[in-house]
Amino acid sequence: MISLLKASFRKEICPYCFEPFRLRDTPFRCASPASRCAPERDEVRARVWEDSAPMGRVLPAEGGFRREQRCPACGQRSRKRLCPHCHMELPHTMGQFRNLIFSVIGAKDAGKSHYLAVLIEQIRKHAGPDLGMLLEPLNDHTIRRYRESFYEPIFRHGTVIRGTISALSDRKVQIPLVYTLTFTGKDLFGRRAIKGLVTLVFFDTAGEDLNDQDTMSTVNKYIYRSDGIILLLDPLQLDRVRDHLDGSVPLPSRNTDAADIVTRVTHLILERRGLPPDARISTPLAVAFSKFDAVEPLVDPQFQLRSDPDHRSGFDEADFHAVNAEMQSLLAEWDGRVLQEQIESRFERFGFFGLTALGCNPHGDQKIPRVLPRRVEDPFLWLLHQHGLLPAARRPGGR
Amino acid sequence: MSARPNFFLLLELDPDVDDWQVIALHVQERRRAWARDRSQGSPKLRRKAEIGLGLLPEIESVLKNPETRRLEAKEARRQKQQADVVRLQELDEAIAVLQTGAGTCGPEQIEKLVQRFAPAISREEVLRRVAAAGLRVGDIGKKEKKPRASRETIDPGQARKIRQGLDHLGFADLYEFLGMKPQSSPKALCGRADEIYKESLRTGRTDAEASMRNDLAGYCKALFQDDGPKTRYDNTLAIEAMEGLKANIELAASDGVLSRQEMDTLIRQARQRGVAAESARAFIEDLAATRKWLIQGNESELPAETLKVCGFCSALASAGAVRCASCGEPLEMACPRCGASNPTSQAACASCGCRTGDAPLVQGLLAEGERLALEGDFPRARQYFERALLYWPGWQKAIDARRRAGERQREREQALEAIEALLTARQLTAALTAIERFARTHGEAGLEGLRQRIREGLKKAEALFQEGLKRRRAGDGEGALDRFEEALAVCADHEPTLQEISASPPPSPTDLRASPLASGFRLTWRPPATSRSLTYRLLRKSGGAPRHAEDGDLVGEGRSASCDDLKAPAGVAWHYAVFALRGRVPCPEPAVSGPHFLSLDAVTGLTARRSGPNLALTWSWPPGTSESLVTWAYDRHAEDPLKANGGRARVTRAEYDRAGCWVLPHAERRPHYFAVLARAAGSDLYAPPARVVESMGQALSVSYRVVVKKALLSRKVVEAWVELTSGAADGTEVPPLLMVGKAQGVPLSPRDGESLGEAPATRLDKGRARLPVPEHCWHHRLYVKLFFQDAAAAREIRLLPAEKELLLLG
Repeated sequence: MISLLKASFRKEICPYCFEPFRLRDTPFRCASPASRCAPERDEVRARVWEDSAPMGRVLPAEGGFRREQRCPACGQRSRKRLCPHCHMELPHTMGQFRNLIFSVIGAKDAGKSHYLAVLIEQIRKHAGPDLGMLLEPLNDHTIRRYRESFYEPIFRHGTVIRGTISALSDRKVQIPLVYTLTFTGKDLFGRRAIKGLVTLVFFDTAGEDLNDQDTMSTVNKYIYRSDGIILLLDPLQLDRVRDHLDGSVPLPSRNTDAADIVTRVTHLILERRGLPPDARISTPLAVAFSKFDAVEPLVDPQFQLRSDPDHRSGFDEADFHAVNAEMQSLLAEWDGRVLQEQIESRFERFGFFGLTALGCNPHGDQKIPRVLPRRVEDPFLWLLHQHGLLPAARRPGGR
Repeated sequence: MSARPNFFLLLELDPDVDDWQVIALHVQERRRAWARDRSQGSPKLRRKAEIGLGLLPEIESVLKNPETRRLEAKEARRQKQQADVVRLQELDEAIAVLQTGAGTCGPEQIEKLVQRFAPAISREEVLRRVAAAGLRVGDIGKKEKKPRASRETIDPGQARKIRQGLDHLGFADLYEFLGMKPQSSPKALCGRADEIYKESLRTGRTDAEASMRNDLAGYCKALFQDDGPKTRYDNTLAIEAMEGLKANIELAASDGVLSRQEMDTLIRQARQRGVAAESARAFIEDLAATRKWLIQGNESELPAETLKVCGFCSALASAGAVRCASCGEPLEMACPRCGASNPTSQAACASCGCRTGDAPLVQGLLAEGERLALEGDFPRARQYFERALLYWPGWQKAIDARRRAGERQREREQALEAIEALLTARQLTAALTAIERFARTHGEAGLEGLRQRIREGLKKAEALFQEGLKRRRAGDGEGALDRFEEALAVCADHEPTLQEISASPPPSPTDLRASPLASGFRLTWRPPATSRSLTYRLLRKSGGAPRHAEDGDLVGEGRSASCDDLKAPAGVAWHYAVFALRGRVPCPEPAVSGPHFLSLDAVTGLTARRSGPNLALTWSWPPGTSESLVTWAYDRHAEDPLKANGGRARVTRAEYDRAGCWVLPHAERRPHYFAVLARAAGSDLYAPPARVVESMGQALSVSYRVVVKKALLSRKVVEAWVELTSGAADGTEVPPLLMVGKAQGVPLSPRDGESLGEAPATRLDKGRARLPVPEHCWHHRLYVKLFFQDAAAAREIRLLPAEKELLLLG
């Protein structure tokens, strides 16, 4: 209750429109069935999300903190709290637990949607259970969108996900995937207990929405509100890699340079957070080479990325340091010195990773014979570690 | 309670309302109304308002309490019932007054009664009581006839031009011109008009008739663009028809009266001319009113008005008929969308609005499509079904017919392909039999050309055969063989030729040799000494040489004296035989060679990758293998991989190619020592194993960092070494290492940077060891990294460098 009261004065961020608000200013939505309280068009929702379907009536904020509100029309109490700016239903955990926004950015065709699809599956089924974490979708929209747009194409139909639609052309693309991550463990008496909970917001960006500073500031507000950024780099876009592969792997068409994206992101964050131009950004930035399976033949057999991290007892920090140093060298080797320099000088906390979401290159026939991801969870676990949610693992150093 | 008014009645509130929230709202409304009346109302209303306002506190207290509210409601109901009884008595008295008249009552009187007793007594109750009192109620309740609105028609000039065109071409109306029914949808009518217009353009005729047809098609497209203009045209047609009947009407009304029977006959005649019953009646009634004729009888339905119209042939049928006596089609049909029953003459379903009026067209399209499908013309049949679905989307019958046609078309194409294959192989006799069988199953469509080709071929073969026979009889054996071969070249299965030629088989080839290729053999032979050209058939067989021309796997057939066998499975002893063929007649003895072995190579490029709980193995398959065996052990590589203690799995090439790898699902969390052996097809012969280790994250890990010791004052480096630490047991040995340094960043491979030295196998003491850095490197700013001299060791031991800054020397 105390945390809730505190939260009523503290500013929260809406996980949908990313606008700040106070809990005491939030309206509610009548939760009665349509037969009892006639649904009506929500003008705010229609304007912001282009959703003009009739829905429960909006019960305006009455000032002061409330857990629920009574509908004057039907008398029913409702706990459906709405964002005052966009009228989307807020997570019920809002105000009680931390609310972390992780964004996945990268140029067009960098593999963001595939990464997100596989990451969520890996956390839910493998990394999560190993680390005592439970990842659950928070609402029907997340369940439906993840199923239809991410899970079904890759894991059921074995096909690639079609390019994400620009948020400029479909506002609903701007509705992110919202999950709760529950940390479980044992209490003093050895009983199973929930030790913490965090709301995670994943936002999948259309690559073309990062091609223009103005577009970014309009539809990608989430970037400067983010608590962690995963920047995916497609190694197949690098000239040196393309030359080395020499036609042995089908190559994607050329897209925006990652350095340009980092420049725009940096400007956006500095400008919107009101930071001086020489400030370093405190948001942790995970820079990950996606599609690493395609470039694996180009790296040495003793390359650290080929080994497996051991995240069972926490974040494998020793593995991270080994991989981070190597990936930086690799980036420099592949003519990415500018990008590395940019990141080192603009971000306080950063890490370099390598991963493959699919384990195969489907550029030719658009089919995925089998999903064999590797190291997709590393950047995500590093971000959790940076936020103090995941301790560092103790490496026994022996078998 | 009797001293004050009942509060429910005072508030004009239903006594059945028992919710205080609702009552309170109502009280609030009344309060406002009374307040208004008190200041602005008439004296009567003002008095009533004052009473009400004065009683308000009591009203609230009584109605708020559920107990007193219930009692109040009960009393309200009782008082209401009492008042109703009184009102009914008054009504009965009023009706008794009416009875004293001529026993009839007009609508005005009934209206007065309804107004007098409303709202306590409903209109229905008034009418019921009037009827019960024996008053004639014929006209009671009927609304006063309103002047009929004039029906819209098309422009008279346009109507005249259309009529001229129709008369010129000999059509009654535009529907007949289009060959469609009047109830057809505008879409269907427009579509048909379009077809006529296009047909006219195609033929390119420019005579008067063609231009008239074009004009009418244009009128059709304009008038049938939607329901509005179509209705106007229908009204014009009805008026034209009724104008034609006008003489009969005048004749019937020559005595100034139109009897019920005359009306019936006239309406029947109008309906036969395609005019709707109500339009016909309206026309006659309007005409009668103008001419001041009297129409006898009441306005009840005439027998002619109840007649049904057949939507297919427009014939009239009796009211109870189910099928049209003229064409036999049903008079009612189920809507294809909602299933509701509708008259076939109706334009649209009364329930869902589906254009049921297109039934004759759509059913015609379906029937035509089915006929074409029966004849085997599936593409056109499908076009018809598609057209039917254009008018009635989702019509199950057409969908099913289209699906069936598609399936039969596929079957037909497969059968045709088989016939084409026979033709390509010049087996004309077999092709002719197949084509007859095909015609019985799939119809005759498109077969004539094929038949012609076969018949011509057979005729030619027969002529050549006869020519051969003539030459043989003349003693020209070689010339006869030439003709027979020519006959077989035209028709390979010409039976009489085959019988003749079998008496003189071709000579045998000799000296068959097999030379190995990278993935198979090249077979060469010496052709027999003959002037004629022969065909050769090369066969492969394991376990012994092929004995006849069908014994074994066919490797190839052709006129060349060599052939490559690139698909021979490895590890099997193969025998080859080559037969010379004349037509289909083989030589009596083949040339043979064998056995030949294709060595079984080991798989190459074996890699193991961990993906979550799964392990994926990839490798390159040696040529000629289609199966491999994967075995694994947990502690070390098994000496005999076939006896590995972990597990084994048979992997086929097809299965591997589908997934792009082989996956061991849910592998245990301990090191896996894999062996992959290519296997010879159909035998237990295995290639040497390829091996790989996957530690499953359980590898021994050795961390290292660079330690630099500097002099206290001068800050010069006095010692530098790489410190190894591990949680492994005492005495654990780290395989030989390479030390590499690079200035710009961490080295990526043993060749990326400057080699700083090599270290032999290093023993860990209490989990630690030191590797000294050569002195000449101490002062260079180098990032130092260790690599195993043998990269394979990295699979079992992981060398973990420290953070970048802790690898820096100097």
